[in-house]
Amino acid sequence: MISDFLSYQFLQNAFWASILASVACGIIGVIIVEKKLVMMSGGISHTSFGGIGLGYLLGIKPIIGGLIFSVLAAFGVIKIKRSTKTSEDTLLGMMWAAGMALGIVFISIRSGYPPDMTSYLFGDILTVSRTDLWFMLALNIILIGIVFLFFEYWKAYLFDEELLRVLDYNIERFELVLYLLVAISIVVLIKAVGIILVIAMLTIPASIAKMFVGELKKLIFFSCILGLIHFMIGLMLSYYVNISSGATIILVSTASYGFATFIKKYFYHA
Amino acid sequence: MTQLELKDVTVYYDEVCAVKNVDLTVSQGDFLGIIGPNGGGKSTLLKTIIGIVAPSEGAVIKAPDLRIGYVPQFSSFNKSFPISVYDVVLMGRLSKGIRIGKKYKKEDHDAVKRILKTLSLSGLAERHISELSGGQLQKVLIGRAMVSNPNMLILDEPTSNLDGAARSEIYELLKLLNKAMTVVIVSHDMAAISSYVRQVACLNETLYYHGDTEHVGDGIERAYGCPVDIIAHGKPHRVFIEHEGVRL
Ligand SMILES: Nc1ncnc2c1ncn2[C@@H]1O[C@H](COP(=O)(O)OP(=O)(O)OP(=O)(O)O)[C@@H](O)[C@H]1O
Ligand SMILES: [Mg+2]
Repeated sequence: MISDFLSYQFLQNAFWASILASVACGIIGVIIVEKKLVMMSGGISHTSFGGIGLGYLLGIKPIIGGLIFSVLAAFGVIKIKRSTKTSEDTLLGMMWAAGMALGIVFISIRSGYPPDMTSYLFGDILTVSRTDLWFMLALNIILIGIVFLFFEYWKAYLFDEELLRVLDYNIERFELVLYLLVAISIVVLIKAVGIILVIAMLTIPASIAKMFVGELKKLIFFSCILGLIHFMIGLMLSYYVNISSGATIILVSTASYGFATFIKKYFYHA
Repeated sequence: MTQLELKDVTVYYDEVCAVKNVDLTVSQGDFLGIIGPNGGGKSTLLKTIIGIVAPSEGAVIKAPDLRIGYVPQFSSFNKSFPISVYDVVLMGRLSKGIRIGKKYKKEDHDAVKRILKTLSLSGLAERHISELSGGQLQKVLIGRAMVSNPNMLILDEPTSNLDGAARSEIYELLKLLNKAMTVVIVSHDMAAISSYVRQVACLNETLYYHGDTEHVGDGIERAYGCPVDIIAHGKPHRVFIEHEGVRL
């Protein structure tokens, strides 16, 4: 694979994409798991499919449409969360499905041969382009900057938002920024693992890391590393066996989760 | 010296009236116990004082130098969060306003170490928050409220699920802290209230009594709407005086 790696641009791109994706996974994944926003994030990612369809329809880059829709979905989720407490679940499910449906509608009203959507649904890290990489890098820099320049506040927000409220901080603003970060990171990950699988990549490395690490920064770091390992193994397997990279990466992470549970149970005593 | 004054404070949650026309004054050095039945508006009153619930009517007047430390009734925090006791207390040093690249300073760390020592928690500093007993956790939360160097400590039922020994420990601690700061505490624990606090307020929507523990009279009974026995056990420092018809 080393010689292939040196001679094929697409393998190099896949490598860099793995790094960028695992950083986003590590940071946002830990936050999502700690704040129990897994379903909300699922809603945001599926809704972004509508934007991808719109992108195709309008002839702009589908991922830009996806970014716009996932940001809108983040606002939508906040609105849902703040208004009617009782039907939160239902509304989220509705947004989730409507986003997907919109995507399908946009694609089918576009004239001509329908594009292959599987790379957005399930990811295809081997087709990541240079432009995609720059885009992912830019989003990653925003993500890292916002999380680490205000790290102590995020830590307090994730641990106990009531404390911040008592100290007279504006919790709604934290919430808004957090959801936008989730939207951004999902877009970073779509090319690599796809809309449907993105949730797995956000939650699995973070959950594994949580079994062994008891401090937030270490947890984030360890999740990034784990994510990267999963990406690398998945990438290699999918390259040699020639199966979908997104699906392979997810299965590798799932297996790794099972393995970690086993280690934790029988060999690791903190 | 008056630190805090509530003037005719009324609080509604939509249609539900939780607190009605309450006048209350808290002075420097007070040890005030707020008692009353479930749903009597005690937590709401504290939240109004802290400023996380706005009064529908009336005003909360605070002395310019008032710094409140608050320990809520239901800790809403994420119990599995990867954080140590030390870092939880350190969080109490956050002060209003967001600074880019904020780092805690040496004085913040010094304050945390001092507080952990005062509360005899130094040995648990590195312990993960999920590995504490109820009493230890309660002390950590008191530590977090105290680390910002408040001159008024407000606690909402800090001993509700602690055993007798842990409870006494908390009250002894509060008594000690009361030498340096005002303490306001909500509790259903009549024995503790009668032995430790020096002022009481009986609240059931409105304020039925506010004053020294000696003269509480039938304020409690009227607040609860039924006779209440206050039996001091342990080592009582002060017991409410007998009142006709009610054994206090
Ligand atoms: N967030 C809320 N929204 C609507 N109603 C509320 C809210 N919080 C409290 N209430 C209502 O206000 C009233 C007072 O509640 P509060 O929590 O202040 O009572 P409490 O004296 O602290 O009771 P307890 O002893 O059970 O802690 C109750 O009738 C309660 O149902
Ligand atoms: Mg209460």
